[in-house]
Amino acid sequence: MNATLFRAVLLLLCAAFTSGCAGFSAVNPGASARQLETLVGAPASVWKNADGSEVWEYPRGPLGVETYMVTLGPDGAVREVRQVLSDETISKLHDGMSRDQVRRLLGRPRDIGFSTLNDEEIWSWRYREWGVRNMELYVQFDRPTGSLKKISRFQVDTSDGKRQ
Amino acid sequence: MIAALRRAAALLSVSFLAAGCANFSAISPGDSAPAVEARVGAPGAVWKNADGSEVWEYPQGFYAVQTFMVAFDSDHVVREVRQVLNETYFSRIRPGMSREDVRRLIGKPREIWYFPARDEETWTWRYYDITYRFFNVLFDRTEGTVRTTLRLDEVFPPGRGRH
Repeated sequence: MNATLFRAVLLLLCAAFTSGCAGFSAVNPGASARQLETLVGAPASVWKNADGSEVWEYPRGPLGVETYMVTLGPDGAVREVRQVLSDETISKLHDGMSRDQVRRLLGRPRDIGFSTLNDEEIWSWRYREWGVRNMELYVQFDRPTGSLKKISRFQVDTSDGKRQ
Repeated sequence: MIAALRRAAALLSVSFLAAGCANFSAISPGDSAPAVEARVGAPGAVWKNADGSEVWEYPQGFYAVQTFMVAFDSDHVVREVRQVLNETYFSRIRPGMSREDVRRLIGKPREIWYFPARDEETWTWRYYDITYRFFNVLFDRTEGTVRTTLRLDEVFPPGRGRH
């Protein structure tokens, strides 16, 4: 009896965990769009490319620190799965980029803010560096022109001022 | 003629330097308000207390890591000078405090960002503690009260660091 209960709780926990990180590791190249949807659900956005391929965006926010981009070929089969909230993707950002270009690289931001001192729009993401460090990324756009003005990255100090 | 010009230029550059690092350490308890103004100029803001005492606030600019507060007694003499951008003052900030409480404690922020979805206002100060860091106070915008504080270290891509 107790053992059954224990097993049920364990199963429930497992389910909670797997839904949290929605098994992207189980998505393999060649999988169909339907299989993809079964495994990880519907995307938050779909980007269509000129060659007929598509990119499906899966932000795991607002609390998540991962965003997955799944590329499907014109044949509707998965080509690649990428977790884009990483230094590698962030290093591709540069001054002058449009909101749309940034969105396609990093997906939907966790939050969008505004500066009260100058006419700026700030997009923010949270991510983990090397799987251990909590990071915040801020991308500042000039609002009138909509072009990227500044990129800043911060490591969050969780010690609440009690370092050393 | 040229020597006089050169002397004027030298004097000018000296006065620029003095303005850049306004000498707060030269202010002593007991100094008068005019003596303070003569040394460090007019404050960015003045906070008046009910007992007639005042605090004069001197933020040092966008990239600066210091803000000075000169506290005067009700008899208009300096009681103390404090540099407030450090843990001693940050640690006094508690959830529920008002914008004015925070402003009186650590002065004007370098930036204010507003995040509508969270109804949050983020105030930022730059400071120095082993390295250049940022201190953020997150307010509930509607309530006007502190939610939490955050300390951040800026991370630069290889070769693009500022030291």
